[in-house]
Amino acid sequence: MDSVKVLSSNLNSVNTRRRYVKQPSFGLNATQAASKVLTNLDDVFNKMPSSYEQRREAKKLIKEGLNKTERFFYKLGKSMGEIQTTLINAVGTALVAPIFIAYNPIAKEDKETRVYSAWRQPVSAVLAVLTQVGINVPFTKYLNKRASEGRLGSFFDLSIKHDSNYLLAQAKKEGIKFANKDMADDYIDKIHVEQFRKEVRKKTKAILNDPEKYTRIFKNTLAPSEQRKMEYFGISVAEEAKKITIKQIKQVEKNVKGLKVVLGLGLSLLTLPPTCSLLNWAYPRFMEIIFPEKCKSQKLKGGK
Amino acid sequence: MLTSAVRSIANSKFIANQSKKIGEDTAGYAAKFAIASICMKDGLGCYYYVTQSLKNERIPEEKRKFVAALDLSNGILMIATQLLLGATISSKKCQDKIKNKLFGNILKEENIKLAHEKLIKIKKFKGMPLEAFNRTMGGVSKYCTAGLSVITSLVAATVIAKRMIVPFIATPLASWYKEKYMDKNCNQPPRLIGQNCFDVYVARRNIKG
Repeated sequence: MDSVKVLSSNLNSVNTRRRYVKQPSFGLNATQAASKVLTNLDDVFNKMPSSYEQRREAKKLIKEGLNKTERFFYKLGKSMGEIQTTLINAVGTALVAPIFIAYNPIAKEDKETRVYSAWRQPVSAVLAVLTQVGINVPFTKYLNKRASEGRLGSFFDLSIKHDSNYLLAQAKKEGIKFANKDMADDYIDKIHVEQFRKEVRKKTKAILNDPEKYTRIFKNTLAPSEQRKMEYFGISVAEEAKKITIKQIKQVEKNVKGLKVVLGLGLSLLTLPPTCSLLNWAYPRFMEIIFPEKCKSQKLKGGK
Repeated sequence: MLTSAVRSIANSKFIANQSKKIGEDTAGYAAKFAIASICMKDGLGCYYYVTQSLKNERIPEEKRKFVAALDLSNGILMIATQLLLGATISSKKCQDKIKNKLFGNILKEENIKLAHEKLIKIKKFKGMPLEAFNRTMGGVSKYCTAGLSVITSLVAATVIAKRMIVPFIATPLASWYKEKYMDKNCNQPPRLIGQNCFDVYVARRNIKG
């Protein structure tokens, strides 16, 4: 842990930089150091601090510590998309609108007409949910799958950290069963950590094969003693790779989340014309079946 | 075939840009987009209602324009109130107030420091820098505030504005339209049995889903 502290102050503190900057690198130049680190990559990763795991564990603890309201909004913020927007809109349409239509004191129409009209709202909400959610759920699954396979281009490439739902679907296909949600979460976490390590290793190698990058890192690597310069250089390269990987994963996850919302909206807009026609067809029939007496007096056909 | 089509659409400049902005949720962009999404759907719905009204043969020809105008005004009213209320609720000032009230605990700097101090006493968190803990905490609280921002904006727009305010304004507005323009000119016999066609039609029309 001391080495981590020194390394961290190495990277951040100007004063520390001044203290260590004059240390020689015992005769090795950047290229030689890079090739040496490349051959002993396992050593580097063994000495790396496990900050990723620490943060993951800390996140679990923080989530457990949230109160009910905070947890509700956390879950909502994580899953917010076109489906949730449609559902909230449908709740308003089905439960709130009919009350305000049927019991509007300013309206001059007779009560029966208002009640008849009010019933259109729940019918409309159910149809909206059926069509919009019905098309968005499989499409979201499809996007998760394609993004996890890396088939949507680099901007939406989740092949470095597969979507959780995609992983669960894959596990189901392979016949893996989970007794509870915690076990499923652990399974997902395990795969994500493996994928993360694999990607960091790949990026570390890429840096060590790029003279421009490793030379810059080598020059900026400061060590408490010349013997430890190699060790510190290796960790610095891996830390750099780690930072790039984390940044890339976060960005891609955000892009995919946004993509689901944008394309989801596009799909919902596409479903609107058939939903309107469906409502025109279904509403009078629904009313005739559920409220035949009201329909007799209203004699309404069609409707929107 | 489908995948290549989706990839082309997804990587188009506009879609990629919007996806990035929503994902990053800079300045509550996700909430604003959710409101815009509802308004777009209402706008398209309004267009269909207006065109349907203009083509609806069950409405006497001379009245169709009025009915269509009524649909249009309803649509505009819905979009306007949703945008207004949605924008007010999703504004930074308003969101900050609600946020601090609801998530004060997890946003206060001293609370984060205190939690960090407790955490590093646990063996597996020994040596975890405050900065890393802060980032982790920030990640959790960001989702909380994003969820809050989207739901308050949506409830304000789709429940309060669209389903409470608009029906109240739209219903008397529809009656006013009917009395002022339609009843005076309605010389043709009603085509619907039992009632004046416009009484029924307008009542049904001014309350859309």
